[in-house]
Amino acid sequence: MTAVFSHGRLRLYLLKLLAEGPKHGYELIRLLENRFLGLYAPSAGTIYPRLARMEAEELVTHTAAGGRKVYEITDAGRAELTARAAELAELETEIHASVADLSSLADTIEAQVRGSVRDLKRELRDASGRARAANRTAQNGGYRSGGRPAAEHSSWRTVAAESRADLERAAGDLAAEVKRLARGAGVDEADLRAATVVVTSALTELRRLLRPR
Amino acid sequence: MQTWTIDRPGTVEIPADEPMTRLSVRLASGRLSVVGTDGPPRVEVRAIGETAAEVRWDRGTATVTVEPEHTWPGLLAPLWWWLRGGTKAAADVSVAVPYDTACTLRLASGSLVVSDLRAEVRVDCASGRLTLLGLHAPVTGKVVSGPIEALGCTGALDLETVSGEIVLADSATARVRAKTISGALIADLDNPPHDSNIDLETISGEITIRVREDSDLSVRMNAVHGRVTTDFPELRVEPRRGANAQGRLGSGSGRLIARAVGGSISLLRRPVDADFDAGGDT
Repeated sequence: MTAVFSHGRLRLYLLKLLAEGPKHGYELIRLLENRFLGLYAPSAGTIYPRLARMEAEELVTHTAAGGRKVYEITDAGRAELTARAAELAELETEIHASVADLSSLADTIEAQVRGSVRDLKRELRDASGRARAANRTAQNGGYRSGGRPAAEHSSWRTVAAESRADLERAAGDLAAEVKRLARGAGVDEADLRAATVVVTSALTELRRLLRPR
Repeated sequence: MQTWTIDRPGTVEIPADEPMTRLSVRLASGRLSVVGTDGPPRVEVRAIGETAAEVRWDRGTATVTVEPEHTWPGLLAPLWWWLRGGTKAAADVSVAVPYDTACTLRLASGSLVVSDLRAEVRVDCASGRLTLLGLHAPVTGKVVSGPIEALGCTGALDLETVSGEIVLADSATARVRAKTISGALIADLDNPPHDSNIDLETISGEITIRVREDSDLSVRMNAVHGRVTTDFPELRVEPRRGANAQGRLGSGSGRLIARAVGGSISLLRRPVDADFDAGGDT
């Protein structure tokens, strides 16, 4: 897959997709995946930095609508696409060639999925190990132990942890409610902009309140 | 209706008189792969045993069958499979179909690969490995003995295996039901924050789940003999064996249920780049 889609080519293909119309990041990822038989499933972490670089080179621009970035191709981007038309055609042939031999394609798919699964297992095993260790430390420190009250210091920590959890829950509720409201019927763009200002100023206030002393 | 018989390696192109909407494959043993493409649909046989493959094309439905006409009767049948199945009934079959083809696939033993489809997929496999990649419609998969591995699937997933493990990698799906008896269950979900419905169950395996850190989920986890760990601070977990954990993430509009009898459960958080893929939940 990496051979099919080296770095310069991903950039070329992103330009091609954007030439078909403005798109946001998530859409780009899904489209890339479909074009490549689901073989190439780039994550946001791969695409985003690349788009940012292309933006710095003024090949694409973005507009932010409600926190969602929509990317658009510029004239310079179109010029690059025209200049590299031959390369693009070659890339498309290769993609179709890989579909031509179904049996080896199946081998590739199996290998690709197995590789991703192996990486994922390792990553999650490490993460759960860390979570387990953190839980154990928390238990020894009297943090949410639910058992006998430990020294004064650790009971203070329990209270602090609970308050923190309360705050985080409230923030979660806020985010969910905002998303729901923003999606409601009859909300126009001006309302959304005003609401964004409200949220931003709340954030500034919170930063002031919770900054480390 | 048209039929073809394939008794040596070769390809059958399905005529373009009608768009293909359904595929049904019954394969006794070997390897089966089904791939969505925008090219013409076709059946490719790379290797075939003594039983020829039958391809039938009838009003938008293609049926591929590689099954021996008769084995030994009654209780001797498994013995036949064991002694003769490999040579008489094994095949390596690949099918290219349009993206919107609903597929029903049955394989007695071997490996099965399904990739890049936007219509419903049902898979039944007695013994073997099931690999799913880039499926964007509901998937029902049952394997008796063997693992199920899925990458980048976005439709509702309903998966079951008795003795293998189930791994869901990078799955942006809102509905998951997965059940194993003795295998591990690993799910890395890029689930939409709202109204996800995730139900995982195992008897003696371990469960590892990772969900978006901005998920809205009512969580209920129960490990009868194992431990429950999580790195979501808002969930209360008793750090001992035989633990129950309940709680709410975000507004709690979705549902996450995980049950394990013998193994442990861990629930992890997946960081989210809110600026970039904010469109995932629409």
